[in-house]
Amino acid sequence: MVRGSHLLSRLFVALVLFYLYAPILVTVVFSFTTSPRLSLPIEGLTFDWYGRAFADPLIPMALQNSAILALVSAVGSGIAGAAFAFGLVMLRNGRLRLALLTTSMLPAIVPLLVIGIALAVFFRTIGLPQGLFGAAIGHVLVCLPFVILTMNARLESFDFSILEAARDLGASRYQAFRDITLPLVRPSVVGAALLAAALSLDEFVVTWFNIGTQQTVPTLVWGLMRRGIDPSINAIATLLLALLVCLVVGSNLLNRRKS
Amino acid sequence: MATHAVEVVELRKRFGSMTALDQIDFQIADGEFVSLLGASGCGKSTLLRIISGFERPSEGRVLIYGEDLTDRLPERRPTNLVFQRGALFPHMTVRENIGYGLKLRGWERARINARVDEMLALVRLDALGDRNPEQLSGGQAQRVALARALATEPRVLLLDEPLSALDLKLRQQMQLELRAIQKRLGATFVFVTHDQTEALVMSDRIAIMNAGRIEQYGTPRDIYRHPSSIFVSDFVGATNLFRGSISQVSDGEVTLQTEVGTLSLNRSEPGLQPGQRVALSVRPEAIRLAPGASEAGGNRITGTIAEIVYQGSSLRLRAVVQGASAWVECRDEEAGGIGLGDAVTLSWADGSATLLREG
Repeated sequence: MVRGSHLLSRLFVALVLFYLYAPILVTVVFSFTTSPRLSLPIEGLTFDWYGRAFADPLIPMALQNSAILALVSAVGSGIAGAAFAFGLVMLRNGRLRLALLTTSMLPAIVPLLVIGIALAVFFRTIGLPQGLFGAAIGHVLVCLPFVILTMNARLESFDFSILEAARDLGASRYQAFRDITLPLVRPSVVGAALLAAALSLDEFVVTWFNIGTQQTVPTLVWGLMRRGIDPSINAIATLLLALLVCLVVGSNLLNRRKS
Repeated sequence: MATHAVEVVELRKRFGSMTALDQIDFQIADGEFVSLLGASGCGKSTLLRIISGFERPSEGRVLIYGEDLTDRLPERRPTNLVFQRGALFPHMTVRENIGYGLKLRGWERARINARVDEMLALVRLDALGDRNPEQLSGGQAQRVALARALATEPRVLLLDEPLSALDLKLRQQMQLELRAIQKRLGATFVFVTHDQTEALVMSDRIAIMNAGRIEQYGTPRDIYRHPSSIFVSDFVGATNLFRGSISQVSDGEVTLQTEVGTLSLNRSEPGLQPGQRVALSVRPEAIRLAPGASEAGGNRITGTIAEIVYQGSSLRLRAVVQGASAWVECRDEEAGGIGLGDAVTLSWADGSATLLREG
């Protein structure tokens, strides 16, 4: 390494980090300021905006909807994704396995706008009214590729001969699953489910096209912003951020605790 | 007729268009230690997996103590398998691993504990019962795998190259230990390996496998001394193969024209005819070395030393005989004074040479 560039490179790293985190920091800081106008330096600290956020009856409703969708995404895509990943790693044909994995990953790079519109059109065609149910289907769809990817990574290092060892010692298929597979993959499945919940909580585009007159936290905040920026939005955003950080950290911890 | 521990009848296994096993027919007696020996891809592991129930044969039957178990699931067979890399349950302690099969059988905890203690003592790991598998060395993990497989008292224990991941010293020690445990329990062991030394050291009988077939099935001494084919003589131990053809058959004496000259030996087995392609197999340690060239012929050839390899306890010498090579193995002092380029005479006892047909 060239010594002379040391200071410059440190400065660059600092700049990039500042760029990444400044907006988030501003939001968090302003959720605690006393002044309704967003200006620096801040005059005083308060929890008022949090109180005001919950005083609005729309917000608890949106929170409840978001929670329902997150739960459905976690359970639905967690179970379906884990089962799919299991099927994948059991395949003997390596090419087929790779092809199926790639195919299941594709929706993750299809623009959300396309998925959102496609689902809306599809639901209209089959006569399903817009609402929470359609949004839930969309959320599971959006989360599934990420769950499959996480589970696949875990299962590729899974030693399947231990399942044969269990069978050999007298375990039925079910007993081997209960005693061996489940305890070993449970942390990974829960981790993947938490990731799905995190993805679902801040999903906007697909939700927007399918939820109809209902609101989730992201769509509600979007609506409030159109009326002007109120510091209570910062409060909601900060709460959402805290929740997401918890979910993602939890997910990572569970996925690391395998070896 | 006594019941065989394992009887494999006209077994065949195909994977798609590939034939993995063909015409496998053999029996293992009660209490016998049998090795399936062969290079990788010869079908030995597939055969073991068919006996254990993890693969189904395309044709043929597998009988264990007289009972046809070909269609029985692995968990309902009286066989247990020791896996290549142990396959211990990572989320269970050593004791839980060993006791798992017993728990499945609904044993009470006190009885399981007693049995686990017994198994830990058998594999000499008494102090390590509460460890997790990741805290074990390779050798310890394989001992636990063995204890786990033996805990439920299988009628036949199957071992799939369980020592192949261990280093040489440990492997040699485990070979003797395994053999001692098998003797003590009087159990039937079927051991898959690609290591011929391992097979020779441990087995009552060895089945040499090649390209999906059993080439020869016999005691280690039998296989080493009287290989039935060129493949077997070459695969088990080092040997000299003097290739050529039969030139004359008369009065119990056979004369061969080989790449190392004219040889003759006393054989009166039927079916030997002039013109037949054959190879004479002579083990390097069966060859006597004498300095100086004397008259060749019979069981004697002459050549010059081209290579000397010092191996500590023994010496390997390569002599060039009419352009072909012959290896001799002897103790250091037996080759006293013989150096590179010296003329030597090589000879062997008639009974230590094996006449093998080509093809």
